[in-house]
Amino acid sequence: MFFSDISLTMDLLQMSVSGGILILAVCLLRCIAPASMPKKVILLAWLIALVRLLVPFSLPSVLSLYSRVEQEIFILTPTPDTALASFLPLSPRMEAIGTSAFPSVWLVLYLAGALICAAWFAASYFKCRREFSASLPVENAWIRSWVSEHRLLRPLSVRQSDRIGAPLTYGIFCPVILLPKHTDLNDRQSVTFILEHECAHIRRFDALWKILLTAAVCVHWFNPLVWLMLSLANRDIELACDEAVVRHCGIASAPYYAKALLCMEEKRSFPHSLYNSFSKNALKTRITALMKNRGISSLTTAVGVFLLVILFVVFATSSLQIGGDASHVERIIGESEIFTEAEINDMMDAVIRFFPAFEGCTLHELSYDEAVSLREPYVQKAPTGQRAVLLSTFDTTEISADSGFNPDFTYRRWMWLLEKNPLGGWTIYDWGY
Amino acid sequence: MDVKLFDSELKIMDVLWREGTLPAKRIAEILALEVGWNKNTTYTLINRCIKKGAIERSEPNFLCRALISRAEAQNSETDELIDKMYGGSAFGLFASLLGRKRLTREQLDELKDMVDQMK
Repeated sequence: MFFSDISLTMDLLQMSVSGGILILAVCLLRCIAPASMPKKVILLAWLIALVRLLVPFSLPSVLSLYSRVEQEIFILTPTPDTALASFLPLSPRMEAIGTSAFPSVWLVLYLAGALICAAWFAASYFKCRREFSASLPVENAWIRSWVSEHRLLRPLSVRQSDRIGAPLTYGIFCPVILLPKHTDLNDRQSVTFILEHECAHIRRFDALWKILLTAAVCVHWFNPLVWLMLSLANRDIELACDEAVVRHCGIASAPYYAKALLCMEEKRSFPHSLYNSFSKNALKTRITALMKNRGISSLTTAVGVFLLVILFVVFATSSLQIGGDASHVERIIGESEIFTEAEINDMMDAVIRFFPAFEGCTLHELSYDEAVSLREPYVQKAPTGQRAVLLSTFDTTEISADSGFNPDFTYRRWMWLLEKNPLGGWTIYDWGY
Repeated sequence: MDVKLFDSELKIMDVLWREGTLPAKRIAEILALEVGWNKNTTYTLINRCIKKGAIERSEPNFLCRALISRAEAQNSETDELIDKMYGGSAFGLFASLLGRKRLTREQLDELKDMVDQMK
């Protein structure tokens, strides 16, 4: 039962590390991207990072960054009792990797952190949704006609609320554009800009993407790069919608749109508003982007897409597995008066967990025969139930020769000497004939 | 006694001022038609009005009676905005047109100048 806790932790850490590296790559892409590259390309890059963080897929590729890294000297091997991914120099007989019978402290801490994050976000989300649902409909003829002109497959409504300071949109199945109470509905130009912007969010299902980004933060709450992604991706989502507005209303509208944003910002700033001491401000970035907008170039778009493909292939794929394969092992558990079946399975799990160190080998069978085990001097030297010997059958390939095995050979009745450790799990002491 | 109500709460009061004392269920039915609120939204708002002292509840049937008149009711000042209340998390979770951070007068003017120059 706890063995699977540990393997879950390792997959999560690997996803988090590669996700983090991918996030850094996307940050680099953002910096070098020219203004003529559509923001959609950046959003796709974030999508790749998001998928890497949330979906436990493994696409081994020789082009992967991790194939290069692992071919050097080190192999990424998390040790179960610390549950922290550590780079260990691996040579046969070096690390006796055991299993632990207790859920690691780190797992409990992780779950606590993830649940607290999720609870905080969920509470805010539902509180806001409750307030939003108490909004009032907007009774305005030209807005009604605007809505009917911009039909979606989903029912769209425009409402107003005295509880918000800036227009926003919410709802995935029944999207709603919510306008602050004092929006001047007669200023058609500004309101059209607002509606176009929010409509762009709705068409792209940004509400859903934001939820997924938040989910990634809850799952990877310990990784500061994922929080960075949340902040930057949200900003890029806004920039992409600004771009959509300008594309829809024409490039000449860019300065008027920028002005409209600034007027809205002005209206909601109160005399006692919070002073923004951080110079990097999202609105400034957006206004600058709008002013620099000269239209999208298909050349830079193509370059952008090409960079995305490289991004995916290099950073999102995983290393080509040359480690030992213990994915289909036949377990033969003989009669035992000393151990329960569960204990013997734990022993076999320990060997399977270690087996990737046997590069290029494939483990086929593990067996426990009590008579054989008790005959071994190693087992006899300790109290009953403290040690055990397992027999295994495995194949080798050419790669295995580097580790000292005969290549393209089948090893039978290869022994594994195991000792029970103080935590109740099993540690591999030695192996061989 | 000053009772400050949000627009949504004033809408509830509006129904009572128009129709007189009503059971909560009836208010919910009317507002479902008028503004499209579901029952839970309406009941939550009624309870808030009760807490603020604008409505009195009596049994049976959760009968609601307006305790203040239209003249006495005041609109809440709009500085109790959601974005301030929930630490700005609304902007992370929802697609808002403007970000959480506010700008100072100087920063706003600087940006306005930038736009004017590039027009």
